[in-house]
Amino acid sequence: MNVNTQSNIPMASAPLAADPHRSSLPAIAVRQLRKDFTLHGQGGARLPGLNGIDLDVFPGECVVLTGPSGSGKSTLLRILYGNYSVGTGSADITAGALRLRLHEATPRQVLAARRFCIGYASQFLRVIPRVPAIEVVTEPARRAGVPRQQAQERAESLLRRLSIPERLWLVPPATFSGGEQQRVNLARVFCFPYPILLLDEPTASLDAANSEEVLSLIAEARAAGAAILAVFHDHDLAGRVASRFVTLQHAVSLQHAVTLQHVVSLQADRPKGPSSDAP
Amino acid sequence: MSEPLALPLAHDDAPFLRVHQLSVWYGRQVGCDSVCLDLSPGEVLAIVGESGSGKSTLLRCIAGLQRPTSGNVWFHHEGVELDLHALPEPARVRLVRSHLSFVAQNPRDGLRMRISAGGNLGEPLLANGARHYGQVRSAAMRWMERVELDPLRIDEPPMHYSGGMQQRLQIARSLVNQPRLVCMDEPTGGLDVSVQAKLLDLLRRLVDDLQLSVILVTHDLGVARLLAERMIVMQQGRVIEAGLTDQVLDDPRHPYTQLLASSILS
Repeated sequence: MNVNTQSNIPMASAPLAADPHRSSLPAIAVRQLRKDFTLHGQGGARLPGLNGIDLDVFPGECVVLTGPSGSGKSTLLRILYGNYSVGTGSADITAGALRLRLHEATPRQVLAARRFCIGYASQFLRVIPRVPAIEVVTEPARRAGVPRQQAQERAESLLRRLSIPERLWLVPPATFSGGEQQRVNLARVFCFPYPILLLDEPTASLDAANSEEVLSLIAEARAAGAAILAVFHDHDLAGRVASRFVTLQHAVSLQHAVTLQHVVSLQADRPKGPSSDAP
Repeated sequence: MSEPLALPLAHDDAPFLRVHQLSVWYGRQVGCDSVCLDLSPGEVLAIVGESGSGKSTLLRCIAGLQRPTSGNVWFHHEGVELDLHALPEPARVRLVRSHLSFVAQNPRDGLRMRISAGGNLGEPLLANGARHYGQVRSAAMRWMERVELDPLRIDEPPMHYSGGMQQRLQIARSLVNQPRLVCMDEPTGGLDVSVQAKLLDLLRRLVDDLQLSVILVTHDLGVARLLAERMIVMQQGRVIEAGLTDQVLDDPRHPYTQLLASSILS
């Protein structure tokens, strides 16, 4: 069965030389994934999001998604986290003994996969009122069963590396700057050794030194065997951690796609995409 | 592809509550219509929808406060499935008293305003068989601390408390018997924003620390997102969408849910 699956790997994901993790199943396997958004408020307009994607990401790989704004990079990450539903096609998550078919998973299964297998960092921190930054960072690790002390130590080392000053650790991040919030968000996702990491523009609002630190966190996670799928704004930075690039073609004209993102982000009640991407 | 391997659930146990085809009719007016849902230990489920969508009716039926016109509320209890509304009255009252609790939107509906805070917290314990006055009182004080109320005010009646304090007292009262299920009807409605944030934070921690199972009725989607992992959306008595809270809010499919999700301010 394994052999069969492996022979199906498309050439686009040709193995890296001498990668010890390569003998395993893909951690993420996406086949003919389509996603449309039907906007009932707009007379039932159907807006294409993803147009038949095939993708494998193996443990120990960092695949960087590229493509024009509106080509569905963030949409793909959100689908793999279960934040958006699968339209048609399939998306399988494999981590250790666990396999989740996202296209047919129950909410409880998705929650379990999020708890133990999939870390997702969007560009924006969803702040929880009154919860101190250090607890925001340790929360996912503690939910996954890491003892408090251990999670705390890991969180402190991450916050230090991402240059969040110690005096802010007990402050709720609501008042933090955009860059600080993003670093809290990244510390949160790196606080637990998720076998799968989904990173949406992890360096978007960071300065050079912090971007360097994020690159080394990604490299460490990769070396530890994590399968990483990331969207990067900066191609040069991406090139330093990517094991391979995958380009998404936009499903529709750019103009249309940007409109789609705008409409969806309005619906989704969260800011989305750097404004510099606007046409 | 091989068959998917079993994935452990985030909540180890199977559902302990199953609502099956529950309907309530007020004459020819629908309260709720063929609602099905289930809940596992430690889960928080939000029920959202506009006023009159049937969410409070559903909640009251689950909490044992109201009898459905048809359908069942199955409660897994000591190895057997009990139909809450088919039980003989004394057994039903016992089950509701010891395993279910209800938090009303208005603390005045859930508290006795003229008896002391300690009396409010002790009453459910006494109803459940506690007889040692000193233990009841010290339990009451512990619960006051837990919900960030000053235990020195244990002898004051809640009518002397602020709205936020009253709501925290009501929540403590709903938890003293360590129920398996807490049903909350708009617990943060009617409070000003800062008090609401404090209460939400408290609820979040209680849910985590005590592994509470909660069904939360709210029209505030922000509250649902913060507290509940799963949600159902109701309209005209029917469940029109159900699933992961963030998926329902970020990728809504039903026209009404899209309207609801696109109307969030913030």
